[in-house]
Amino acid sequence: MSEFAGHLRLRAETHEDGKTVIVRQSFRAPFHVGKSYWDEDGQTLRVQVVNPTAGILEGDRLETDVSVGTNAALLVTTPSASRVFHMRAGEAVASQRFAVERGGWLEFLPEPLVPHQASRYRQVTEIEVAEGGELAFADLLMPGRLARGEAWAWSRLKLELSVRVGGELILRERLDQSGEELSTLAALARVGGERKGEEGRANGENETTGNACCFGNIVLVSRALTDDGAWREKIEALHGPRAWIGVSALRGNRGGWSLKIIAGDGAELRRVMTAAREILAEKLPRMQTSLRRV
Amino acid sequence: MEAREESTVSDVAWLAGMLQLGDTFYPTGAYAHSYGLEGMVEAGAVCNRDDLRTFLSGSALPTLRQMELPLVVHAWRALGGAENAQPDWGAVGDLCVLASALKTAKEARFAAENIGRQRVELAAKLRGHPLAVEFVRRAEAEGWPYSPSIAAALETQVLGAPLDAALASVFYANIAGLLAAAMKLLRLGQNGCQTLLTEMMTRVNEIVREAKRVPREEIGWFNPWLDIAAARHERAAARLFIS
Repeated sequence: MSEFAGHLRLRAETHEDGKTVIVRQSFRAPFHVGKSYWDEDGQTLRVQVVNPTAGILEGDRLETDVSVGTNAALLVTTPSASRVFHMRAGEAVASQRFAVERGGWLEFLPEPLVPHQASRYRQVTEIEVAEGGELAFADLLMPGRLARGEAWAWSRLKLELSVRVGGELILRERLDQSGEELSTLAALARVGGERKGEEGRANGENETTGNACCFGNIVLVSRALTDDGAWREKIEALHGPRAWIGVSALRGNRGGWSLKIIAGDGAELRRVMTAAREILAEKLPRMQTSLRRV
Repeated sequence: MEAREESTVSDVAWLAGMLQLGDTFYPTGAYAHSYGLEGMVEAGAVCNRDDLRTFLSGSALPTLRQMELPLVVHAWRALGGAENAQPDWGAVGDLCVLASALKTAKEARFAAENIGRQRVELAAKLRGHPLAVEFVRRAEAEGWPYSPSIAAALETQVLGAPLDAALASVFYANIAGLLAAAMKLLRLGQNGCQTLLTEMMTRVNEIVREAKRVPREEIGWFNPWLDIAAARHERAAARLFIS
């Protein structure tokens, strides 16, 4: 299969009226940038990135480069899940770079990645936030097409994430597990399933999707998020049998936080994400920006 | 056979040194940590011996293979490797930061940093080895976070021990530490723990061999269940272990 190279390049800056505008944009299929909207409530420019093709295919080479200038505020969303399709031999590779300058705000909130059976996908994400910049970055992952009873069936999935604040590495994560390896751990935790009894056995297990769960990996960078804040308690209170939620400060004392969610299904992941975003908006007002479909 | 009988004291000094480092008598503070296991027990994920076995083989061993042991390997090389070359202190510092950045949960990171600091400082204080002394000086001056894996690489260089011995030692200490904590958290006897320890040790050759092949840019392992359990343990109302 021939290679297909697409790119998305966006540069947001502050206009003289104080609103954020896109000063540079370049994209090539499978990326398409929709019309941007200024959200008065969140004082943020919302941009929706659409993939007009069916999804990510074998041989795709995708490059994303989004930067936010001083005091600019940008929300990037996608309207639908990114499906990574079955691949015979090759792989698809996505390279993502995000940069936020001092006083800038970037929220990146795409719909989940859905790796199909026998897909091979590698995604490398590099984020650089200047001291005084703010970030809410979400990486959502479904284990497969749950409605079809498919879970953990990819051939290779590699997701790499590095986050630097003020040039210092505060987070490095690397998912390179087989579906079987993640399925084993999912079965142990049984998020969304029946709670284990004293002997550790769960009752009423759904054999098809009983081990399935959906991940929300959110990185926050803001000095407004302090260790003793009520925001953290409120988010932690969302934890329950249908969704595990953990919040912890990242290294470096640079305002970095990790918010991790493991939900029993996609609907629960969406519910928790929505609730967490509302809680965070109390400390990070730009998260008041509406996510309604435009 | 004759060669073995003629071993000199210097041939086994590193072994005696490693036994000292691995002894519970050696004050690293490691006994006070469960490395996330208490959080997994609290979350209801690890309830019994079968769960523990799954946790060890599905979480602890891959973490050793893909993260902790490769960190030892790369740090050992940066500290001079088998040729006792001049240390690449820039690479050592970068690995210290990487080791810290790989731990998203604050509690897990602090546990690692406290144990790593104690080990490095002991290596400098007890042996006065110039490499360990210089490590401490640079770490303090440049604000490097400490790490047990980087500390193990330093100890290996200080003792003149073979890299494989250090990797086996880290492997053993990691699994044995989890099992020691498990005995306090689960209904599990000493024999049950030793059975599991012995079973996991059958994997040591494979894990060490694969860990030595992990490139620096591929160091890391994804375990959101453990990260969440550690994050929640950080704020638990009652707990037996620090981590």
